[in-house]
Amino acid sequence: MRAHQIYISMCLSLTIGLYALGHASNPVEILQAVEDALNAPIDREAIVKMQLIDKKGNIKNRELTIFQKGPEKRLIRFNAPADVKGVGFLVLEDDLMYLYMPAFAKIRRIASHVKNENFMGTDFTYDDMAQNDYVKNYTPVLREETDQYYVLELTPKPESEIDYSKLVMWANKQTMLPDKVEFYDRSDRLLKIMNQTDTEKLDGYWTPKHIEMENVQEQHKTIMEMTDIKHDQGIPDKKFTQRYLKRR
Amino acid sequence: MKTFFLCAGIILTILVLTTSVKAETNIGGYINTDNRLRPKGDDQYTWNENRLGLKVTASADGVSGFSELRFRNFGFPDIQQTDRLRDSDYIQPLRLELYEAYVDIYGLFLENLDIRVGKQRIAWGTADKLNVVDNLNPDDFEDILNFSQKIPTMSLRFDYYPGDFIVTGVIVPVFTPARSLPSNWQAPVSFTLPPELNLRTLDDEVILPKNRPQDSAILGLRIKRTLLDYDWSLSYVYGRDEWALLTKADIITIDTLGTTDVHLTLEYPRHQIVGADMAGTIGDIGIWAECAMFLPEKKIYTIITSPNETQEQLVLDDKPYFKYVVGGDYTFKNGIYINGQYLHGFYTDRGVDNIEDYFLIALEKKFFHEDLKTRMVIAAEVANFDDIENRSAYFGGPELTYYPKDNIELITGSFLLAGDSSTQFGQFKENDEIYFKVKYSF
Repeated sequence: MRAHQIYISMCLSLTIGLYALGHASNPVEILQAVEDALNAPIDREAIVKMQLIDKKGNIKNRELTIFQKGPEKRLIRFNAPADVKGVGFLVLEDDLMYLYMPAFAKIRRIASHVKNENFMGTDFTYDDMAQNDYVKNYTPVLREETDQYYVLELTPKPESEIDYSKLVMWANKQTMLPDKVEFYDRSDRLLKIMNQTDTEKLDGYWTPKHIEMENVQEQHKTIMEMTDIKHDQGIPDKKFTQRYLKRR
Repeated sequence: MKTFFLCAGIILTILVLTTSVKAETNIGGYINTDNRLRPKGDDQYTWNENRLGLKVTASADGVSGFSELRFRNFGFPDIQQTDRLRDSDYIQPLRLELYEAYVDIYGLFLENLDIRVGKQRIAWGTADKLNVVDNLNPDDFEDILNFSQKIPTMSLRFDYYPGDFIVTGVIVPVFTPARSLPSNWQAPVSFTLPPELNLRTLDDEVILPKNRPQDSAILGLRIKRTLLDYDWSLSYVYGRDEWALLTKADIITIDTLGTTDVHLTLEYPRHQIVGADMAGTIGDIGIWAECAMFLPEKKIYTIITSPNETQEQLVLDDKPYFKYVVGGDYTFKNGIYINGQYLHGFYTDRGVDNIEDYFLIALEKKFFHEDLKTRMVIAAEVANFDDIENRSAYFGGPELTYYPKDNIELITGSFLLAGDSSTQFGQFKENDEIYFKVKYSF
């Protein structure tokens, strides 16, 4: 069954790449190909090590385990530092978010007003961490095409709740993953730059293992290293429930 | 020294047991120092605690265990006689607490059934700390700055997950009373006599329920599910009021001069609580609400005056009374977080005519990528809406938390009180406090 799923996913990835290459002039289709590449794995499990580096070079560390199924189901569990160890964060469809804090023995519903807040002190917002639905939220324009990249300018749709004025995305023609994204604030000033590198094909999916997000206005940077990455393990839906959120 | 060996033994036992079953074991915890100062009065140092909290987690396939041990050193010497000067227990009092110790068994008997047994905290409700449906663990008022704390108790808890529902059943075999405020906040039980009588001695007796299931046990049932993007719960508790109620006063006049001895009796009435709560969002605003209907046991207060004269008055009617809380939270674009709640019925309020109202607002703003957190709490207690000027109190204060490195928190703030002395919080208006805490987690 698993081999069958992996085969279908690999075919899907290949089709996405070929489709995008064949429709290079249509920015919506390129963006859709990017989104499909990001969401290609049926499920994913990984350990994420984060370094938060301020402008003086001081470093803080975070480590978390992330489980993801499809574009919308996500379970994040903090392993370090000790003061947040055991904290769990569950994201479900329709912006349904729950936070489990072991110290309070309680699962708390989180409203979507936190979406544009920094996620646990990192340079990623909650929305950045969850954002894989670009086509729904942005109108793309093809700004430039090089041998290696489609450069897209993404403007938030009026009905979306995006807190950026625009994104500029460098979509890799080979992987259809965004190797680089620039985030502009509401005043249209450059706010953050994200770079994804060390991209490897794991279990048939292009996967960036090193992600950097730099806030150029605050001179603060977050480096994410992904290890122990597993795809299409058959993570059951019940993993993404309050029952599993509070498990130690 | 005895405490040390006891703890070492417990930790060693856990390690040996977990190693023998190849469980994944994790030991962590925290070191915390907490100092408080009261600007007014003679006893200005009100809290001086150094604490080591040790948390042990062990998990194997389908089973996990958790325990938290607290070693608490209180820095105030407890010396009244010279012989205590030889005993380090009095010079630097040390207390050991087993805060929680429980075992989880997942999928026992049924795939969708999880069981947790042991000393545990069972937190019900959706509100932010002021949970009127959270009635399985007794209140812990040892530390007024954390007045929403509860005491974990030995319980057997079942969580069953049929479809979209979560059904929770709880049995607490032994009743545990609430912990009162410390003596530097509240004087012991007092009694007012008519002016012609002179009080010589006053003592009291607290009657705990008998140690048998029908008297001591507390039962709880909750059904929870998400519907239309809102979380809903219905709950029922067959419990006992954890705050003692004065039910009898024996007033014995000793002589013709009016010299009097008083003996008070307090007990814990039975009650049933039917609760409901919800949480969800309206737009981007988080909202929650809880309501609890209390069905108390009727209690009569009996005053016995010598010679054999008895007066009776109703001290707790069996009419149902309600407590409820509604609240919401929101984060503005500039990062300021606001949390507002309206509470009808504080933890200690009971009876139809004795429920007060509270309004609480907390504002929070983080700076420097959460290295610095500022928080301001403003709260008002309204005992009587028809006479707010004279029957209300205000409390709260600012708090600053700095996280200079991973796992370190430096916290400073103040807790300020004002208002009418006849109100719950106004009676402590002379007890403003400044605090400083350091916590290191490992």
